[in-house]
Amino acid sequence: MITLTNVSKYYPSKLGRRYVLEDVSLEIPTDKNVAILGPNGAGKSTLLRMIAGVDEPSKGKITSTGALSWSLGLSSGLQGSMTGRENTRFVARIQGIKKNKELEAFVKDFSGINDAFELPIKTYSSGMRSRLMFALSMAFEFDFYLFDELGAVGDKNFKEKSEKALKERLDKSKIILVSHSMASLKKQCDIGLLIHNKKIIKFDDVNDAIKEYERLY
Amino acid sequence: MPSSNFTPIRPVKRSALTAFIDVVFAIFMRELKTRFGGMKLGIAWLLLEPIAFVLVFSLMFSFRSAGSVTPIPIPMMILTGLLAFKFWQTSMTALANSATANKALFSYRQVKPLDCVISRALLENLIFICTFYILLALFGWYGFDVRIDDPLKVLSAYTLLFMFGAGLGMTIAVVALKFPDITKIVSLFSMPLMFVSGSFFTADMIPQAYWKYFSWNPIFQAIEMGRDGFFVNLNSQFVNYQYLVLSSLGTFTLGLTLFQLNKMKFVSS
Repeated sequence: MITLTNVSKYYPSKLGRRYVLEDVSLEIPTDKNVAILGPNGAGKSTLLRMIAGVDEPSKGKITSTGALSWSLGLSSGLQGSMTGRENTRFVARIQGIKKNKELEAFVKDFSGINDAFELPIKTYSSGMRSRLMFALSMAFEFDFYLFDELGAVGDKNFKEKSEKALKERLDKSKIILVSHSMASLKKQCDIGLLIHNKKIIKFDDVNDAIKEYERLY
Repeated sequence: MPSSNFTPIRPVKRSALTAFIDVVFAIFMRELKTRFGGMKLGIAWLLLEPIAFVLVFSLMFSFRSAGSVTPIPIPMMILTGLLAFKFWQTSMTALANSATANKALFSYRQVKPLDCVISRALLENLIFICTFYILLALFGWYGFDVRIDDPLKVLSAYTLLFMFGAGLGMTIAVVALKFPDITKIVSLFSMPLMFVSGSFFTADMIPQAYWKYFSWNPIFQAIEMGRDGFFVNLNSQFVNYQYLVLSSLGTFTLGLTLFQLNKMKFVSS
């Protein structure tokens, strides 16, 4: 269960406080796949980062039970000067997992980046980065995988492979998905959270959330 | 390939302390690699730079026959001064950059900006202790008397020196969030600072009338205190212990407080 209690998030600016969320209270059940919808700049990624425990709400509290992944996005989490293997090892270590050759081999194999696994991340293309990020997340068993637009990456082959892996995970785990692709939200999610006017509207059926989103924007 | 039979691993449930140690260790290993991984000369340079420094300045002093002014051997005086100053300087710059250099890793909720500071502090202290011991051993092998008369005093002096540097480093890290140019200004000042901090002279080598222009500098005070611990017959009257302790602890507290108050800015800037 992920619980938001009176959560506000704002950023200071020259024009005063710019609110992203204002006094939002909400419960996200652990047995549903969740879609987060909203226009650009509505605060979808911010919400996901706050759920992931990286960003803090300006006011209010977010509590969660169970193991949550980090916010899996294109631009996050990989240190440019470290190699793919070093990044993998680092992520394992901070989760309390000692040096694990099988885990590293799995990430190398799944990401399909071959020798580049031993090269610094800064030499990677954005496709390689996101494949590595996805493979890395699949090496761990979380209760919630938090995807920030990471789903639709890689070539056809990799897409099929990752969809299959994700499907296996979804027997036990759930996802929270931020995406602009309505098709993938429809396919993968049960319920929808629509960010509108600094509030979050919860829909028990993701299709209703998509309809409302399309009506509004 | 192992991917077919690999079962994903559940993150380990740990106490807050174990999690903290895991994270600091992970960052420490990453910092160690970037510090020494790139260049093979990295480790050699740690030893060669002070040796070259000591050689050049000992030569200069031998022309001036400064040996008559101070009771301690000139090369030892320079070594203890220079290494301590470098320790202060690298601690400061390493901590000033620790959060920004690891920014990408703040995507993981386990990693907090202070963890990066602690990892770097550990690394800098470890490097300092190792280089100091190796160089002392080398100097001792060459024939200098490298026995430490008052180890506890040396340890206290260098702890205070580190705290002063660490406090400044954390303060700079926070200021640099608003004014990134501060790091350039600081590096501009550290060179001349070396020449007024007693890196290669003791306080006794300056006329007492001028002490008031030098004694405001906690680095000089700490270096002199360290030397006084090394050589009990230096018997330095220069160190104002109250001032040194207050300025070091004060700077450290200020830096740590500013850093923790602004920690979220390192994560989301």
